[in-house]
Amino acid sequence: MKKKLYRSMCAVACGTIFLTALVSLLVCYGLIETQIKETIRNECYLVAAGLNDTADEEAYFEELAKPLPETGRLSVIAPDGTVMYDSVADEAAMENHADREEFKEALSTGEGEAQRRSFTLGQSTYYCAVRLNNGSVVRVAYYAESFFSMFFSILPAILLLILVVIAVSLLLSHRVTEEIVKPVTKAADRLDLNGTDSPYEELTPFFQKIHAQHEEIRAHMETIREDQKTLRLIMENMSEGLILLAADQRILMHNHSAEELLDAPACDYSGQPFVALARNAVLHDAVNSALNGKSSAVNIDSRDRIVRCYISPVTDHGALNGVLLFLLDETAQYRAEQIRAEFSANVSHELKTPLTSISGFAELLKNGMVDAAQVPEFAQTIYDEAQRLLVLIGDIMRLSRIEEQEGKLADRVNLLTMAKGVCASMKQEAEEHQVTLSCGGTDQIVNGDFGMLRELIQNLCQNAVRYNRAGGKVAVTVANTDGRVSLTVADTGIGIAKEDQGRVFERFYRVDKSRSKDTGGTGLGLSIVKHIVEYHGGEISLESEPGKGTVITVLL
Amino acid sequence: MRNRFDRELTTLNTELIEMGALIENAIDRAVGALFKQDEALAERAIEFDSEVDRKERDIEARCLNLLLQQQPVARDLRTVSSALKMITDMERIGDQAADIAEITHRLKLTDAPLYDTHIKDMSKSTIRMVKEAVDAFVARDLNLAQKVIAEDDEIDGMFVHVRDELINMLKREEGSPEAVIDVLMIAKYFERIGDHATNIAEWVVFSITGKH
Repeated sequence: MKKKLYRSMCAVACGTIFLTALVSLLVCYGLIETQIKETIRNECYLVAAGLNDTADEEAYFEELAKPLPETGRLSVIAPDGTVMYDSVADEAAMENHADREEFKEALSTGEGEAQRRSFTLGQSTYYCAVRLNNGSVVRVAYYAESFFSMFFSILPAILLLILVVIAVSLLLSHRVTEEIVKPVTKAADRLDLNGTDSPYEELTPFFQKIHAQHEEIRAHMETIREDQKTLRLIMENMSEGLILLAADQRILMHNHSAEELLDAPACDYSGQPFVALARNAVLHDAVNSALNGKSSAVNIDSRDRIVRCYISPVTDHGALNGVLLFLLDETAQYRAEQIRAEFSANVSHELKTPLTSISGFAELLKNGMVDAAQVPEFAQTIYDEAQRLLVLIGDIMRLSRIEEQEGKLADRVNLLTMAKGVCASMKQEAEEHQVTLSCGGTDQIVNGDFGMLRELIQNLCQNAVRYNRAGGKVAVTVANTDGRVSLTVADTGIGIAKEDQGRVFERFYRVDKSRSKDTGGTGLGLSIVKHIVEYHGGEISLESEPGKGTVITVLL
Repeated sequence: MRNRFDRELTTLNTELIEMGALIENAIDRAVGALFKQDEALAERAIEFDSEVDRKERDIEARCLNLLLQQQPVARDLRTVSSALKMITDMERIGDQAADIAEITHRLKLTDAPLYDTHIKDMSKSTIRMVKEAVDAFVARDLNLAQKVIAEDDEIDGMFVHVRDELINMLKREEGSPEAVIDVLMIAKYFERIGDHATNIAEWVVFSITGKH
């Protein structure tokens, strides 16, 4: 804008200057020319009048020639064209002037005028000739500068003027542009504030359009930002890991859970290669096969976790442009599956053992291979094993019943009274194991299921007595700790090794892997205890040291 | 010019992480072979070593090219020179993993003492250390690097413990002397891997802070 303005300003100014100079020069030149012609004509008549009256031409000429300026010239030409007198040159050396235009004209009409230009000298010469009475002709010449030389002489001034004009227009154009643009710039700055204010009326529709678009863009941006926020919140709050890789295995997007599941230190992995986040060979093979268009799922070990990874190629209109990884923490499921598998193995084993002996002894009896004296003994064994089987099945059924039942804590139970009752009923068994059983504490009333709570205390006491050593002690304490009722069963028995402590509450889990039956348990006791505690919304904790004893605390 | 240099540095970084991944997988395989008594896995762990060596040579060439062509200074020089040192340690870890895998060929778990307890613990700790050292490099995590350096004492302690127990076993004439020596070697390899992981962590610290 500034440049354009400057250019047109310059062109106009320069053109004006140039044309003005030219026209005024032309006009002036015309005036000067007329004046010169007039002057020399007068002079010529004056001289002619003088000459007509005088006798001594020579003396007259001498006198006349003196005041003549250098630009003027006076000559007298005889009727045959010979120069008789010249105020500037030597007349003898001068050529015949008979063919001169002004001379010929003067001879015929009495007066002649001519104008000759000399380009080389840059001068114009004006002639005026008048015929004298004696037939000769007097001629006055005047030298004046030609139009062009006059023009060239003022050219430097014109050029200087043009330069000045250029400089001024530069300055001016700058000013004017600024003047024009400033309000526009200002309005542009305020565009998002009060929109449609336009500095010039002509620009109003323009500004309105811009404002409308501005609003539109802002609305779009808002939507995009909202979408992004939603996406980010979803990604950050999901417990599953999500990673998006570009085709060159750079990380485009990932969430915090992914870092955690892959056991990678927290840092910004965006733009980094995938190998920075995970360096598991199996996972990398899967990613590579996904880059060849094959989705897969693999399990990887990540510290103490089993992570299931689903890896799929990302395609856009058939072209592969990335890989999507979805990570799930499957540790719990994996463990649960293991436990389930173990449980089925255990349950079949537990059921099979007594059945095998029952079937074996029954077969012997059926075949009559047993002495009559031995029959009661065999029958006793079969009876014992059947009883064991019944107890076992009873336990399993109870367990599944507790698992299925909804919490109905209808009874108000005094835990201390109940514990004392259990201890009394177990006195005989304790004596058999040579264990001292004691019960103490304060009266505590809890809401719960009477039968279940009794079973809970009984199971705990039974374990404490059975897994004890001769001369050991079992102490049952009922107390109130921090507003909750606690039941503690402490024994001085064989204890439980650290690696087994977490698993003793599992069904059929036995510390003693040989499953010796001398303790008489089914392997379900503590599992039932745990379920009863959960049924009552309580907690159970276990502290134990091998060789020293075990303390089990139930908080209700 | 600078752009190209930055690109080269990024590639160097990626390759270092890849080499870290290689050695982590090498140890994993070697330890897996050891405890599962899987000869095929041991064979693969040994083959892995040549891959680690190749990677070392690649990275070395890249570093030298960078030094010669770009003449890096200050932090960039630190990055390149610590990369050069780091790959040496990584390569040694690869070698030691292969060495452990080789022992698997002649050692039977049944007559090897301390396998279930001390050696397993040592393997877990060293794998953890190497992973953390590489993690520290990836995340430029000064704290993690310093944690790795501190963990080395733990591994050293474990090694001394294993050594003492093995000496006692020899005195009591328990277990075959060959197995005892092999187990000692394995423990020593783990201890050395721990040292190299510490070195890597120290180079990470150096490349971040400029101080040893």
